[in-house]
Amino acid sequence: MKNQKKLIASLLALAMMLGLAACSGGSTDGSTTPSTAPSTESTAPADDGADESTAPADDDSTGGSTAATPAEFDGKVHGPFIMTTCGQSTGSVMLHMVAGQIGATSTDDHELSADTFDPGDAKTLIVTTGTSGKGMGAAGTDVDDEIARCTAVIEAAREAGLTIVCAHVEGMSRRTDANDQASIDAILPLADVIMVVEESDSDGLFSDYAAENDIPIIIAKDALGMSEYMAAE
Amino acid sequence: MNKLKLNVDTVKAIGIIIITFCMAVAGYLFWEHRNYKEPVVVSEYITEVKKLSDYSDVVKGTVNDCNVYIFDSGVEGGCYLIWGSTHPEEPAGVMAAELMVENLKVTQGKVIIIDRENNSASTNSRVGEAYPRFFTYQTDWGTKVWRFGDRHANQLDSWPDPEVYIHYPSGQTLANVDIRNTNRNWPGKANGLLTERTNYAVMQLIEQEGVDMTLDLHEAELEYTVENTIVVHEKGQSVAAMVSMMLTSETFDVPVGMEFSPTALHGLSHREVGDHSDAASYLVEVAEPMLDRIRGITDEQLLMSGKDRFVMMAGERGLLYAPIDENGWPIEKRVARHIAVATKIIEVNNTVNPDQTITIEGIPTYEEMMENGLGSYYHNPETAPADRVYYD
Repeated sequence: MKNQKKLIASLLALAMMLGLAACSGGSTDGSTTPSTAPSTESTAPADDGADESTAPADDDSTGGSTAATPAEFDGKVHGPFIMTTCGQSTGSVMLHMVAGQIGATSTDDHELSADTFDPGDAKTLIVTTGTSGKGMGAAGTDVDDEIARCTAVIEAAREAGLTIVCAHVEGMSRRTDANDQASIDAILPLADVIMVVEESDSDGLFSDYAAENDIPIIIAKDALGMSEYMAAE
Repeated sequence: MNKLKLNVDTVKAIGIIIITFCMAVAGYLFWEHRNYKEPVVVSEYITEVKKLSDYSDVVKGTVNDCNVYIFDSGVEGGCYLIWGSTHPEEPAGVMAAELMVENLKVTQGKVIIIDRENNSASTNSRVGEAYPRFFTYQTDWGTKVWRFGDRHANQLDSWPDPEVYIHYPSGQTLANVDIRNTNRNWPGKANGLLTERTNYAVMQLIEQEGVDMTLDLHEAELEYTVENTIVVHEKGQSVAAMVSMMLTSETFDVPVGMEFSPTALHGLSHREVGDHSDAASYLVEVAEPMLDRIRGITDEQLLMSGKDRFVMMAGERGLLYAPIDENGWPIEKRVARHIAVATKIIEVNNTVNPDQTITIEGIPTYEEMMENGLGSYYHNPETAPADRVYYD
């Protein structure tokens, strides 16, 4: 774990150096600085040079559209955003509030359906993972229905050209049971970008997956820290 | 024969004496627990102390006709109702509520606090669980004492339980003992049993005072999934999300999460208060290891320190929904978290709903409570002016 953190830190430093060289004109996005300086990380996949990296397992199910490559990822996800939750937990509400904080247009719909999906001018679909028994009970759904709904929405969003983000921002309290894991396992392979908080990745689940599958990952200290990695446009 | 008969009579007499003695001691202990009154030295900035029956006489003359502590700035703004001791076996609630009552100053809007929402349950105990009758905290001036209790009202005050408890008004069936659980019978019922009437009266308070938001203070076992979190009605989701993120980011070592209030599970404050009033309803949970079934010796030490090696072992085996280590979950941390959530809700709500602005002073920060302990924030009823001492 320590070695992995060192590796991520080294890559982060390298990415920052490259970023400075590429963005010497300063920040041009409309994001605002959070009230506390978050110790966040945004990394390209750790082993992006590996020849053995594989595409997401069920890439075929995404209608043949292509996922964003690491080269296209500029370290931020861009609004306007559409958000939903795979498992009726509160992560999408949190990211929706963060989007509001940076002045981004955002829609958070916990019953978002492929049948009625209207991307409008949205650029990014964020699907938060991890489940809530209370939430699913209240919504009269279960994890299988949630996965089916979100998978269909992701397919529709990909066809519309949106970047697909798999997020997990509520820490280990949303990684406690089989439902939590099922929602993660279902959405992670469909992601163009992964967004997680440090605690959610405390066992390396997401960063390992990102490295193995050549997917950009954003790791923030906490949900509020995601504002550093979300741009209004 | 006479000698043998004498001996039998003597044994009988000794037996009767022992039984009578035990009954007398037990009776006194029960009497003392039921009748002990907790002194509260209210803040010098309090504006009024009412009784719950001032809002509805359905609780008049009952043990649940609790004190209602009102801090009205006189400046237009929001109105916030906070209550503790829905479940008196979760002591951080009453301790946090009382700490605020003893120190609060409101400079805009109105804050109303109830320390003991279910007084009757604080005179109860749980059969077979070896619960202590009281718990204490060392202050700068001496030992402060509270009644410990159960999550259900005392059957001396509410009897008999129905065969099946049918929640009013939803018609949902619940466990029969939950007729005495005030967090299972919101929004209450004017002609119901004691706890239903209690909640009915609180709903009348909410309506008559124009309450904009409510906070119900709880604790939970680490084996329970809804732990260290804010459960919130739809009306408060934006505020709760920000409170959760800000406290997790800036203040707490263990995150405070957020849960949606289930729409189909009736009787709970976070659902029914929001549904049956204009207020946004919040409920906050913090970890209390003594509530875990796997705990070791059940005593005041465990209750206040939150340290238990058996609960820790459960955590090592991945059976818990909250972290625990050798430092446990001390009462200072649990109370400080509750108060931090209570005040952060005000702060965030002020930005989300500016017309409901409330500004307060006098409440210690999370860091101050963790640094100083809680003792200096409770005041000595022996030396306080008599007109500032009330009894819960």
